[in-house]
Order: sequence, then C-alpha cells, then structure tokens
Amino acid sequence: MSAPSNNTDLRALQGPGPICAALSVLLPAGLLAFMIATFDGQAVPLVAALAFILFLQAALAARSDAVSIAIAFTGFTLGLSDASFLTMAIAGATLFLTFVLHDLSLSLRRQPAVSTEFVRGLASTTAGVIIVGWILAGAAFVIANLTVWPALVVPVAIVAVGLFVFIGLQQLIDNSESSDPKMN
Amino acid sequence: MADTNLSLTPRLIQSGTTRPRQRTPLANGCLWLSVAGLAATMLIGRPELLALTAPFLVATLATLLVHRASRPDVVLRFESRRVIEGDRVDLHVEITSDVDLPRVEVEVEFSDGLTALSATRMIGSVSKERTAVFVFAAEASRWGMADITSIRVHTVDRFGMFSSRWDFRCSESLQVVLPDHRLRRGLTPDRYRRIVGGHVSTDRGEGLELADIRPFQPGDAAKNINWRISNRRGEPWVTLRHPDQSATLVVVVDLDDDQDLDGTGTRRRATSGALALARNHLALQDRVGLLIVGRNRRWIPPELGTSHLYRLGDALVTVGNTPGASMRSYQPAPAGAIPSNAIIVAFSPLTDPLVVGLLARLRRHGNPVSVIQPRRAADRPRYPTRRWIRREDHERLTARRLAELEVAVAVERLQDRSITVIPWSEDLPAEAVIDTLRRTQESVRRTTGGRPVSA
Repeated sequence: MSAPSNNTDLRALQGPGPICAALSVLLPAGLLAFMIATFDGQAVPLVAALAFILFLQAALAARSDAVSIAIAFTGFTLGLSDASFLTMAIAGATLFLTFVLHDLSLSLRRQPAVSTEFVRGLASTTAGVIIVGWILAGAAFVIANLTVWPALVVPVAIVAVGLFVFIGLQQLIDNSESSDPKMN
Repeated sequence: MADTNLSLTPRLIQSGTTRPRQRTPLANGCLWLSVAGLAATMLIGRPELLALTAPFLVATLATLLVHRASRPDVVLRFESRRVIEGDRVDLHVEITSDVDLPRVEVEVEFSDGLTALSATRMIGSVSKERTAVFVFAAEASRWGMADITSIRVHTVDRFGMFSSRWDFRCSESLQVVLPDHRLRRGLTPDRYRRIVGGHVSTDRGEGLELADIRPFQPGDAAKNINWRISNRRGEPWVTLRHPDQSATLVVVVDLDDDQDLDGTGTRRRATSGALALARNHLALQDRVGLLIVGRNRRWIPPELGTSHLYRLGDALVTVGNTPGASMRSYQPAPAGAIPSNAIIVAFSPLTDPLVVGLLARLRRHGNPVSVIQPRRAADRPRYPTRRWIRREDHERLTARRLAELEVAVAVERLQDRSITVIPWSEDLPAEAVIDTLRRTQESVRRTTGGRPVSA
C-alpha cells in the first residue's frame, strides 16, 4: 500500500456551494437572455421565462428534475429557432455546465471542505466531455451535410447509438447489484 | 507517511442505510436529454441539434465505457480511546480503492461529547491503489462517553452518473475523562490495615517515624534498644516507632442531580473530587473502593494499584455523564460488602433522601463516614427583593425553599450521627475541600482523644 495522499489543502475551497448554485442560474440566464435577444418569435420569451423560473427553482430547492426540464425547454426553443451549429454547440456546453454546477452545488451543501484535486478533476472531465462532444457533433454535422449520406446514415447511426446507450445503461443498472459479489 | 501514533483502529460496522450503486439525477437527466436530442435531430432533420445534446451523450457513453464498480475500504484511526476533556481528537478516515474514485464525500457525525473543530464533511479524490486520508478534528467538549455516531462515505464516478453510499458506525466509544486534579495530601485515616502503606499510624510498631522511648519491657525486641540512652540511663531503653500502615478507603459518589439538567454541575465536581482522592490514596498503597449510586449503581470493591485507578475512572465516566444517570431508580447499595475497617467519603449534593439513608446506614455499620457536599451556585438563596412577584416565581421560590429545607434536614440528620458534612461551593478547588475535611477530622479526633465516635 502506498503512502496516504495529503489533504492539507482541503480547507482552501471551503464553502463554494452557494457560488455553484448561483452560477447554475446565471449561466443559463445569460443563454436565455441571448436567445431572447437573438431569435424572433412570440414563444421565445415565454419559454425562456419559464425555463429561467425552473432553473431558479432548481437552484433554490435543489431539484435536479427541474434542471432537466428547464434544459429540455431551452433545447426545444433552440431547436425550433434557426440557431447555427456554433450557437447550438455553445448552448449545449452551457447547459451541460449548468447541470454539472447544479449537481456540484448539491454536493457542496453544508459547507464541506473540498480538495483542489477533486475540483481540478471535475473541471478537466467537464472540459473533456464538452470538447469531445463538440468534435463528435462537428463530425456528425459534416457527415450529415454530405449529399447522399445524411438521408440514410445519420439517422440510422443516431438511432443505433441512442438505443445502444439506452439498453446498455439499463443493463448496467439491472446487473449492478446482483453481479458484483462485493456489493452483496 | 501514516501517523504511527494512531494506534487505535476501531471496527466499523456497516449500517442498514447502505446503497451500493445508484443512478444520480445527473445520469437520469443526461440519459433522457440524449435520447430526446437524438429523437429531435431525426424528427426535425436538423443535425445542428446534435451539437446541443452532444455533451450529454458523450458523458453517458463515457460512463458506460469507463465506469467500474468498486467498494472502497474504509478504516478509521484515532490516537487513543481515552481523551482528556478539552483535548483535540483527530479522526483519520482512510479510504483505499482498487479503482479511481474521483469524488469521495466523507461525512462524520459526533455525539454530544464531541464538538467538531473542522468541517464534518469533506470531498476529495482517491486514486487507484492509494490511500486517501480525511482528517476530522473534534474537541472533547464534555466529559463522559462520546461516540462517532456515523461515518458516511459517498462515492460518485468520474462523470457523476453513478453514486454509492456506505454508512458505518464506530464500534468503540471515546472516554472523555476529566483533567487530573492532584492532591498534595489526602485524608488521615483513623483505622488501618495490617499491611505496610504510606500512612504514619498513631500506633506503635515497626516503622521509620520516631514515636517515643521507654524502659525496656519483657517482650520488646532487642533490635529496638536505644543503646545511647540505655548507656546514659544505666538500664535498657527501647525506641518506639509509628508503623507505616495502609488503609481502606471507599468513595461513595452520588451522581444523581435532578436539578442539574445539563448534567455537568455537581456530578462533574463529585467525579473530579472522587478521582483526585482515589488517586492520592492509591499512591499511598491504600485500597480504594468505589460505590456509585444513582440509576446505574455500581460497586467496585477496594483494590490497589494504578490499573485500579483507571478502572475507577472508567466506571465514573461510563456511568457519570450518561442520560440515564440523571434518572433516579434506586437500588439498595451493598452496605454489607464494604469492609468494616474502611473509611468512607461520600460526594453527594444530599438532595436524595435515599442517599442520605444509605449514608446513615453505612455509619450505623460502624464505618467512619464523611460527606463532601457539592453545591451549585443556584443552591445559594436568590430571592427577589421586590414586593410583587409573579405566581410562577412564587411557586418556584417555594419549591426551592422546600428543597433547601430538605437538604438542611438531611445535613442535620447526618451530623447527628457523627458524620462530617463539608459543603463544596463551585469556586473552591477539590484540594481545598479535602484539606478542610482532613482538618475537621483531625480536630474531631483530638477532641475525642483519638477514639472512634459512636454513631
């Protein structure tokens, strides 16, 4: 067994929970403001206001389902508008970051001491997910814009990936408790 | 390196609220947003939408590829099971895992006797095959038994999709003992055992202290002849000495104090004084016994030695500051088990007639009994000077007066039976009270010519 790692920096970041909660409202609020300013349509401000209320409620009441619904609303509005790929990519990253910050704010309740190692890991993972997402989405976007391909390959691939994810995840969850002897 | 002073590794018992692996709200959100995004992309036929859902999709896929279930090994270490009140206690929660655990949340809960000095919740990471140490600092704030009521370990995978929670409770309690109060002098017994000890007896016998000289009498040992005086007097004279003897002390501690709601007033002083007296007499080779009265009555027969002091301390701490100790449910004390040559010192606020009766019974048994009566500040009369008082104040004052009257009657009853009662106010140290008791006992002995006073 190796030597224990040092945790002397644990106090350094004590108490960032409210900051994360505030950011999880401010970030999407900025996005919603951008949407209202950019896109035409009577429904946009209405849906944006609704989504903002949900983001606010999620932050105040620590409701993750409210964040999911608010993200769905925001995405739906963006989907109906004529947003460009770049706008969509930035909006996706913002919404994902919002979700991560919201999740983090739940973990940081009651003023825990947080190690910088953990914060660095989370930041790098989130950044990695966003960048890889952009690359994959970019690749899919390029392929989809090819002449014959998009009509066949992209929808089939998307459905295949989606089903794979869904079935795989459900399988993983179902087997988790029974297959691992250490857990029983 | 691991701290080598942390010798105590109590067993952690897993409690029923453990949840091995669960999907987090983030996982549910990512999953449904991914599916919805993909469906919308297909239905609307706009590949731009994929950019919106891509991070959620990537996080979900990556979880499937990277996630490995693991159960971390959790070990709790601390320096000692016994701590002194006011000391800092460092609890090291060591977590080892065979996979990387990017987010580990550890939360500890303490019972009343421990006050957290640092955050009780910490979030960190555990690398594969390495041990991460989470140090929680607490102060042993109140004497008695203190528990680490729960240790909660919550792990979340790298992408925040699956979480596991293990709840443990510590199998061992911490004993928070009172700080040492050392006495320069203990009591002077008036009856001894036939065993050598640290007290200079008033009898004559083998010893070091010079008692007297007198002409030689048949039966005197030749080694006691004082040759210098014998030469001068022209006849044999012997030197008499005081033998060094030991005694038996039984400390009676009344840990009941119905009026003491926080359990720290008279109980604390009674415990502290009893331990100080026991420590002093054990150092003088006396046998010391302990009789705790109250709900959790306990009798520890007189023994010798340092380990016995720890036994007495353990008993006082274990019984003394538990909630049950404040609830009176009297059981008869084993008066017959107390040796007849034992001197008895009781620490009691004398608020309980049953304890008063017990002390009177012990005195009738023939043992010399003294009482040190810890009094709280509230015991001193504080009557309002204004004429008009509220009804509840009036009732409270009447109750207080009645209680004081009962205590005064108890003191008088004990004094009638030749039991010395020394009041102990809050501002006096234990040493001053025990000094007063010793001087009072010596004064009584001088008055009676050293003869025991009959009950």
